[in-house]
Amino acid sequence: MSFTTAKANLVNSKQQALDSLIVAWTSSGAVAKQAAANLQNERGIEIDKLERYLGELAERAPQLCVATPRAEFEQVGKPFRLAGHAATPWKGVIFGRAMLLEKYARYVSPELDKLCYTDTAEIIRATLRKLDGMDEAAAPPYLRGYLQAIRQTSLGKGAVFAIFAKPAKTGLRPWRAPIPNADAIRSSIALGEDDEGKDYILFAYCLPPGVFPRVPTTASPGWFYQQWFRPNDCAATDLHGWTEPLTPGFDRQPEIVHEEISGTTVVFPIHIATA
Amino acid sequence: MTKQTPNSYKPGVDRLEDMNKQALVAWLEAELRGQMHILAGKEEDYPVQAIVNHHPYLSIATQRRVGDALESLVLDWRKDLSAWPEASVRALLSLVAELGVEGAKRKLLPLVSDRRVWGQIAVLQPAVLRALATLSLNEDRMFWSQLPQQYPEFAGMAFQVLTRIAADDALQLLSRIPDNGIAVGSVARTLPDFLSQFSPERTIAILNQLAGAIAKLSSESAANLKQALEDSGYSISLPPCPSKEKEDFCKTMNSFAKKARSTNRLPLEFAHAF
Repeated sequence: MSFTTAKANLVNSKQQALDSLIVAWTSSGAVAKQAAANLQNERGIEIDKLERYLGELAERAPQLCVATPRAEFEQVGKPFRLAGHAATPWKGVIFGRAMLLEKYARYVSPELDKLCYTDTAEIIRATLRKLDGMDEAAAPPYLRGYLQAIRQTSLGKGAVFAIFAKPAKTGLRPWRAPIPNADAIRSSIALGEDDEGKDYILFAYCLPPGVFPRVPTTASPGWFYQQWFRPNDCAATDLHGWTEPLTPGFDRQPEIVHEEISGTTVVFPIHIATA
Repeated sequence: MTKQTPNSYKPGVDRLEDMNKQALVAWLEAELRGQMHILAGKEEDYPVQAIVNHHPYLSIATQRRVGDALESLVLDWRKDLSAWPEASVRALLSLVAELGVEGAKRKLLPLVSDRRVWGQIAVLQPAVLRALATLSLNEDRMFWSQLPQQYPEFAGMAFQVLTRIAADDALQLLSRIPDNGIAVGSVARTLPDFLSQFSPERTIAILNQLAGAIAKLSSESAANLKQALEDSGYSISLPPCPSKEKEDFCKTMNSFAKKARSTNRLPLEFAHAF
């Protein structure tokens, strides 16, 4: 057990602090309970790094034993959220991300402004929908700025989770026709904090040179997403994580994390998953 | 039927329910400045999406308090425009728009009418107008009809708003759309959906009116609008375009003049005489 081994390497006082933290979280709310379980099942990170991570958590145990220790937990976890095993075998695959359409419309608007595409929020959302399935070369002049803005807009913040198709094949996208609906997307990639009944924009993209995929660690999803995150028992050999679908009937998806990147390497077309 | 509050939203909803307006102002400002996040979500959800997600599950009274708090923050920003980071203002403007804080409209309008202040927030101008656009109702049609005279660069956005709040005013604005790529592009992205609301007979009449308006534009702008319509299945026949003839004439004359002497340029008054 990675957790047990790493914990055993800590000094006694830290081991006790960590035990108290696990006990406190286990008897607390749903997020804390799952965070305790995730930590004890961690397999995505080398033992020496896990030991450092556990040591940091033990040191801050008093501050982490509160109802919502989000800020403290994420502060401690920051150096470890992209510290999982290198997921090198998947470097060249096409990754996929889903974001709520309304959120992405907000994200892309500053870039549209820079290009003098001064549309209302309603029209930005409607225009993104029009790009559903449209090849880059087929985009008419009045839509081209949108593709440019997408390339300039960040694909996520923090440790960016992405899925891919396995077995991996060159050019294989994570989502193929027929594109799943929003409920299937939300459920299969465990976007548990997104309210139900909303549309998603789906991106396929490659990682730019110098950016490498990593196995997600317990520190990767931040505090609130502990509830929807499950460490992969076989992370050390699979070299990726698995999503934990929110409801039965959906396939789990292989997932990795990477640093923040812009949409420069988006592989058009984008797709819209409707609710 | 009201949706049940998702379990993971309950702690956040409960915290907001317990806050008075003053506490909400302090919390919202900290959220918008990225100093604190108390609602469930992931990093990219903060600050706007997490609040938008939780908002429908708040009581009406708390929603009203959140609205009041946001109005206060708009006023705070207006009093000292340089005291807020750009990203925080964008988030504030998104929130007032998406949560439908109607009172914010009165607080944002003075920014547009004061040219000096408007100039100070150049990078945020589209975001301010975008918030106003979302909050606008039919009673605001005068503002949007007149905006292009003051700020032609936002004529396209004005057209987009008018298509929603006052269709006839939008049609009138079409005949005086400035001939620039920004405005024409905004119109092109809106026009097909706008037309789809009319009966076939009315659509034909509008397309005829549109043909006249398009004919006054440069060939590039006209082609852009025509393509947008054709891409959505509308056919439009344009009358011979005087501006296109003028463009061709100018090109021919320029070419002739340069052949005669390489430094020659077509005098402007000559082109106008045509």
